[in-house]
Amino acid sequence: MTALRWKIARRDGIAAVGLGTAAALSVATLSSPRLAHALGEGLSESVQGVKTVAAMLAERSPGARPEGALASLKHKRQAALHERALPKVRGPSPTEYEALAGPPPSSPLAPPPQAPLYTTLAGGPPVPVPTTVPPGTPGGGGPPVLSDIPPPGGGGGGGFAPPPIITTAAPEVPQTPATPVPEPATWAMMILGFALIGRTLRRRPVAIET
Amino acid sequence: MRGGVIALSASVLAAGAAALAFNMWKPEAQAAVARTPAPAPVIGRNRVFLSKAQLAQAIATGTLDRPVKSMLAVKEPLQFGDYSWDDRGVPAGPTWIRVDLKSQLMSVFRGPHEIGTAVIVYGGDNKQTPSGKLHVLGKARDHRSSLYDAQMPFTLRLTDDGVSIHASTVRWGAATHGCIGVPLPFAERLFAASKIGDEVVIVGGLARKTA
Repeated sequence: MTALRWKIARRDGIAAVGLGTAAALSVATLSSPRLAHALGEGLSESVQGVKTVAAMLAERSPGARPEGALASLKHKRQAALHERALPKVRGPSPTEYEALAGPPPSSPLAPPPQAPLYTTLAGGPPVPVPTTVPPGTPGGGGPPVLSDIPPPGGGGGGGFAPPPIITTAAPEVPQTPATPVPEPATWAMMILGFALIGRTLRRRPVAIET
Repeated sequence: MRGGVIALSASVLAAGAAALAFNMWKPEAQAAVARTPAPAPVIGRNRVFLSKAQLAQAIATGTLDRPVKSMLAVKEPLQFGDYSWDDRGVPAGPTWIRVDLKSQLMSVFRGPHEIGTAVIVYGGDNKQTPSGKLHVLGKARDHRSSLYDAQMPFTLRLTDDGVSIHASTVRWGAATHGCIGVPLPFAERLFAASKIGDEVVIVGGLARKTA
């Protein structure tokens, strides 16, 4: 009976010694960085021994850069600069416009003098201007028409003089060109709009970070 | 049972005393034996020590061109603008820089230990960064490029025609006119760690014209 008790006690003692050694070793490892480093170095040798240096570098790399990354960026930037440097679009010169529109009206009561619509003959009906075709030209023979459409050809010419082709002068209506500089009213409206936006932004409550 | 308890407490006491002795005794022993003016500091934990087989493989494949003992352990891929720097405990030695254009990485070594790594930007397709073994020809802390009208702090000039390592905005898709751009804090550390004549090995690009 005594021998059995002694055996059990001895087994307990061995287990306790093992446990205590493990606990003390772990405490010592945590408390000593050098011991931890020595252990960790051994562990890392065994774990990471198979990883090559190239694999280590590849793991930390963000990857290769796509081809031509700079080229696309720079081209965009250059294009933007080029657009900004474009000259302003201007209308016709004022002298030409004044020549077309005529002098401004002198008094509001008097009716403004009508600018001549037709450069050739003002006021009257359009007068056909005969255009002579040299005689002997083949293809003539159609009836005389008062239009811009050329007359239909009438067979092979018989040697007689063809009728004259009559055209009318097309009326020219002067187009008022859009001014590139905004009018004062437009300027005023834009400035008013900016002022309104600014006032709205100023009155908006500011979020305070807490 | 009583014997077990006594044995447990005795072993805990013995192991604790042994650990204490290990901690207390080692520096004194080192100082006594080595007689060095400064005791060898502990090299940072976040590094991977290369085995002989790893080093041989790296030299055989051309990844490294000289013996390297340890690399920084970078846990995850670096983002643009990220860097890692740890020179704790690394003994003094010649600084050399390895630049890999394909993987967009720079590694700074002091002797056989890597002390810093960062993501870089490099020359675009029309202005390529030269490859090869270069040297730091000049240093300028507050350099301003007259050619590009831009600030280039912490410049380490590498070639006569102006290719340099300097602080730059490191972001995705960006490229330089041939220089190597690194994040500003990294550039500051690199500037402090390097001197004129230090070697810079650039791999992964076009070979530099020697003519």
